[in-house]
Amino acid sequence: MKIGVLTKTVGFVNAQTGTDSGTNYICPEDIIRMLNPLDEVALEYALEIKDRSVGVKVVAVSLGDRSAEEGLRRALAMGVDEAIHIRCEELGQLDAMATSALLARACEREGFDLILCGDTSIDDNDGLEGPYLAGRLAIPHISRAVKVSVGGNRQLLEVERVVERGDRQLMQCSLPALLTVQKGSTVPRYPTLAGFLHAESSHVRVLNPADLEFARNVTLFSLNTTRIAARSNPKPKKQRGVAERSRLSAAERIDLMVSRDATKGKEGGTIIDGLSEEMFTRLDDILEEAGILKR
Amino acid sequence: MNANKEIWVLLEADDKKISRQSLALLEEGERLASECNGQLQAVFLGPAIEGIGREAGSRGAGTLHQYVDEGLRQYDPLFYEQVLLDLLKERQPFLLLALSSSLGADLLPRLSFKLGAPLVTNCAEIEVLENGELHFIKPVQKGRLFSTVQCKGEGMRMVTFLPERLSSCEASRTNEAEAELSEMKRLAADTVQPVRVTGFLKADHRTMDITEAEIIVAIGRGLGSKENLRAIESFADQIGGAIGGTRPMVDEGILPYERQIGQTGKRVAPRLIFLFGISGATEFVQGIAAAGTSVAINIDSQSPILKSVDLGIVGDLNVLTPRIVQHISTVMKRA
Amino acid sequence: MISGVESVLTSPERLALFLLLGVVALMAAWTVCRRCALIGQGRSVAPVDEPSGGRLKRFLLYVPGQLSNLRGVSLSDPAGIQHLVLFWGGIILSLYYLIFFIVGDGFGVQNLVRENFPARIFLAVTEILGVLLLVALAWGVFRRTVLRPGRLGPDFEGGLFLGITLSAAVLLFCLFSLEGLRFTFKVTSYAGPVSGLLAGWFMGISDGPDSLASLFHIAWWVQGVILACFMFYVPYSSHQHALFAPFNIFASSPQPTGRLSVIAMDDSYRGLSGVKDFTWKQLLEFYGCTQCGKCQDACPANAAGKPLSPKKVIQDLRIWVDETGNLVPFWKGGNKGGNGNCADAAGRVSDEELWSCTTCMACVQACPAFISSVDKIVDLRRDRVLSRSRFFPELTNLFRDLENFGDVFGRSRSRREDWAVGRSVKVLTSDNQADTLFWVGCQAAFHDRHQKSATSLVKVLRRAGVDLAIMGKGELCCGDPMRRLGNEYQYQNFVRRNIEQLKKLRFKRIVTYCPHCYNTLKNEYPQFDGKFEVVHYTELLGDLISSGKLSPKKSEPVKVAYHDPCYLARGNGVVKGREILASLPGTTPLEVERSGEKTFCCGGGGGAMWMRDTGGAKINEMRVKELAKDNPGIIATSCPYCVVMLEDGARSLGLENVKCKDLIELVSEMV
Repeated sequence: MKIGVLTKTVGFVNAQTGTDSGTNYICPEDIIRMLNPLDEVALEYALEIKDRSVGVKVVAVSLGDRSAEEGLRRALAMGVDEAIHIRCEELGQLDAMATSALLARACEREGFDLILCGDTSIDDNDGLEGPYLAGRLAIPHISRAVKVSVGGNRQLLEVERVVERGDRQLMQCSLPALLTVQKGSTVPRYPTLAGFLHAESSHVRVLNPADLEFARNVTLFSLNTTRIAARSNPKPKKQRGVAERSRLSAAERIDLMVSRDATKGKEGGTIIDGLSEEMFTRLDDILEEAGILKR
Repeated sequence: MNANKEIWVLLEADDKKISRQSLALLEEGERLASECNGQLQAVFLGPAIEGIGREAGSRGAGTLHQYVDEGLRQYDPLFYEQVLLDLLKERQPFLLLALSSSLGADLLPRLSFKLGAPLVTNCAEIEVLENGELHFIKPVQKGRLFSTVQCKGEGMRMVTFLPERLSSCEASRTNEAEAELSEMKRLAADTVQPVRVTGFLKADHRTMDITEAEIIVAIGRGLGSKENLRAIESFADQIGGAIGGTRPMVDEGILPYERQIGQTGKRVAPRLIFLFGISGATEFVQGIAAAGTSVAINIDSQSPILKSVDLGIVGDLNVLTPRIVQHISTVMKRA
Repeated sequence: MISGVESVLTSPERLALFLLLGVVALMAAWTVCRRCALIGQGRSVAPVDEPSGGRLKRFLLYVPGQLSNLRGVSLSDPAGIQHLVLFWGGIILSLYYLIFFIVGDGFGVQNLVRENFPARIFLAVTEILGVLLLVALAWGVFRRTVLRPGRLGPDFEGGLFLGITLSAAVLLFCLFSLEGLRFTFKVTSYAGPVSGLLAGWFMGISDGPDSLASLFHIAWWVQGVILACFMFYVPYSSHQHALFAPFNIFASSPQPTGRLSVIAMDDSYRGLSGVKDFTWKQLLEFYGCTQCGKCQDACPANAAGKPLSPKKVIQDLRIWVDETGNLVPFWKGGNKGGNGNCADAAGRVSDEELWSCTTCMACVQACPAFISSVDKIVDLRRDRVLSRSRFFPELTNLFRDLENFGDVFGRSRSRREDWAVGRSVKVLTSDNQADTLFWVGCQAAFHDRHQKSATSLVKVLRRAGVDLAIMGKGELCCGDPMRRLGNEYQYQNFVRRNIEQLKKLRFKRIVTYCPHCYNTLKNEYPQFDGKFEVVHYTELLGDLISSGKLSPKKSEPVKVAYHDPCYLARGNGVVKGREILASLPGTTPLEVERSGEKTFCCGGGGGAMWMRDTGGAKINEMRVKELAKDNPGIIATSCPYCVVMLEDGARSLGLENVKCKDLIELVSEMV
């Protein structure tokens, strides 16, 4: 059995400490190169399948520029058998419809029985590569998987799919298939020293779009269905409801919580007296928005 | 530009009603329809819901495409996909809106691929430009930045919209119109599907792992003694929240270690978190960095946590919690 | 007049006893040889440069001088004096038996060995020590049966102890009797002070020589058999420390207490996974341990009732080594086929034991035989982390944060200088230089509680005219938590990157805020060719105050209890904090029970800040109770971990009136 795991090395914008509005106040140190957390979880699921049974090979596949190799090395350290790097420098301008075409060619060649990847990546927050790839390969796809087991003579996949409020749908599908995963309560394994050293010295197989019969990037660009027109700083939510809400983005709020000193001067949410009637109104609003209260 | 400016909203049910967020999404659709001179229509698959036509119609939907089947209690990916593919191919709406829910986020990519239609996921805002073109604005990088996305081509566009960015203004609703019901084509009897739904596991908020919980009630030193936990538990039960807490709560034996949040415990990522009697030490806040909406109750009006949450309530949690519990049960009874 | 021993003992019986003794001695020697061979198989230890004579001096002070035992003597625990008596008594008695018994009786040359003046003095000394020994033995019985100090527990074998003590007492009585009888029989021309008294009594016995001859035979045989038993028993018991501890003391290298060993990444050694992974020094340490339990007494985790006893760790590992070397005697269950393989390591010391350690080094300091439990605990952690990836999941969060963001809070490098925003602190680059580089550390850079201290430090040092700069975004975590938690691989990655960065900058010395940064920068970075002058801010502050560059103003009178951080006081002998406190006008430093180099852990070291509690009481609360005994207004310390732990402890105990502050905050208020 051969399992492919799509691993993305993301450039995660962790802070905005720059001064140039042209770069959205992002300076180079603010960008953290890391393996997309949910892809790391996908690796863990794949490696757990490998640990449970014999004859399972796990291959990590990554698409991207030079930095994609970092994530692949991490995957190797965690214990995957092989790493494939589809080298594509213009990735920023390709959307999921285009990248899935590249990935599909590579996956077809490898003949994976199962493909895993994270539900979304923290950088672009799209979550489209997985389903599009499944579409291109014409194989079943299950999203939000948190528990995976291979049964029925390796012909059948049993999956728990997490839906709202932690409820789970039990699903079955035939192999080959593609799963996009959620974290659940999984803690991805931390590599051993042997793993780290093995990863340092391992060979990463590099493929170019040309190797996958995409002669020119133009062909790929023509597959794009969307285009990112601009990048901006967060906008507060439009106020249409009763309650006035925090004007901070989630990230800013955490900055404020963790490092009060640094974000001095920024306003947080509303503070109200607990004994006022207003408290109930605002609380109701929040509970209703979360789908808890129904009026 | 597409002459037929139909804007469709995919509705979801919640407990034999159209979900609140779906209705809010309909309102968003209504706004878009009016801004680009389009026509709003709704789509629904599931068991029969009373008054669904009025619900949709009152929010401007002229037509409701529905597929009523009492057996459709759960989302079944391939079934939904096939039913909707036929309809979408036939009608070619301009825009299909769905929620970024476990249903919408699963279904729309399937449809988008099959139809070759551009899809923008996790959208926070849609801007209508003067030329009628749409700009989809979505949070990226964990909400630190927003991307503005454009779709190529003239055909159908699809969007999944973040429920937390929707807000309803029900109060101002006066429209009594009713949507015209249009039955979708029935699907042929059971064919063997490569993906099957075989069961459903209801989560128990009392026993579930806090790292998986979508709603968390976290308690801290402000709780005082263990007896006060009872009120917190009733509150958690009401809202279906899992209880977590700070290290002192675990040290004092009020909570088991599995429920500890923070540097020496677990890191949680709920959509909604209540912080009761927690002052917000760095060691704790590390554990909730991925949380969504936050509400804090703290007796100290100068407590830093109050300033850095969405709603900061000043007061004694042991006085307020029973009142809140009472209030919620009244509201729930009324509904 | 004086005849030989032949007149009392027959040749066959002498032959019989000395054959027995010879055989037992050979067996004992064989056991000791096997043990030595086992030690010899240990991994090699990198040699340490030590000035000539250092070893000898240490040996003389701590072995014959018994300094480490005498240092701990107090009215409540005078065991050190007992040990002094046992040590010298043991040596003199061994000499006595060797010369007067084995050589004298065995070879029939009593006249030769006895009939000279030095022998006469020697016998007198032996007998006086013999009496002292009897007193020491009696006190030992009293101590173990009535006083029962906790450190000797919990696995103390009472029956065995009483047996040995009784045998030793009988042995001494035999010695006195035999000497007395020899004088009575006139086979020797003198008696010692005790045997002389006995001789007088023997001479007065009416039924004369026959019964005395029988007594002589009995005593002589009893003495011989007891000696044989001892010889047989000692190489299997903790008493073998008498053989090995002196060698261990001699072999110990004078490394800084806070320094851990390096794992070479190209080596197959990845922490303690099997017996093969012990160094010969570590193996020697196991046999130098006598289970006195001083480490256990000193251990904060043990005191708090957590599942850790350094003594038990050492003993469990020693038994593991013994089993591997087939050295477990039959009365201890024999060799149950234990092997030194990897799977076995985990079973010896439990996860809870390992992760309970705060690496405060109190056990290392307490050990009279220069044995360290911390290095073995860290080696075991290294195996768990580096080879087995088996540790608490919350540590995964820490390791991931460090790898991705470069700090323990997951806040990232780009925010490292946020605290300094608006304070115009100079940032060192390759273009400028500074006299003093302020190594901020993760705690001061990111934790809101310590950011205040960082700004205070900058303010105070500037006031004193120190040319100060920070590394800004160039600084990474010093790596200390990773090293103490056993993640040596990532530690070395961080160290290399930090050293590379530091070497690009021009400065004279580094001043740190956190004692943990201080310890690793000062003692461990040199292991990776990163030699810098490193001082802790308390050292610098002390100098500035005493040289008058900084003169704190008088303030409200306040009583302050000062808590010495382990990694300053115990690890590096830096106890300036108290002096600074004393020099602050208006401040009254209080006496603290465990202070200075003998300080007691706050509970936050060794990675404990990032791990769950392993049960038992809270170390920080214990310490706060101790510090708050004399109702101080302020508990001061000079370590961010200690501040957080003590502050938390005070809050848990409901001590509303006690404030916890870093020393620099106090000083800052006064300048």
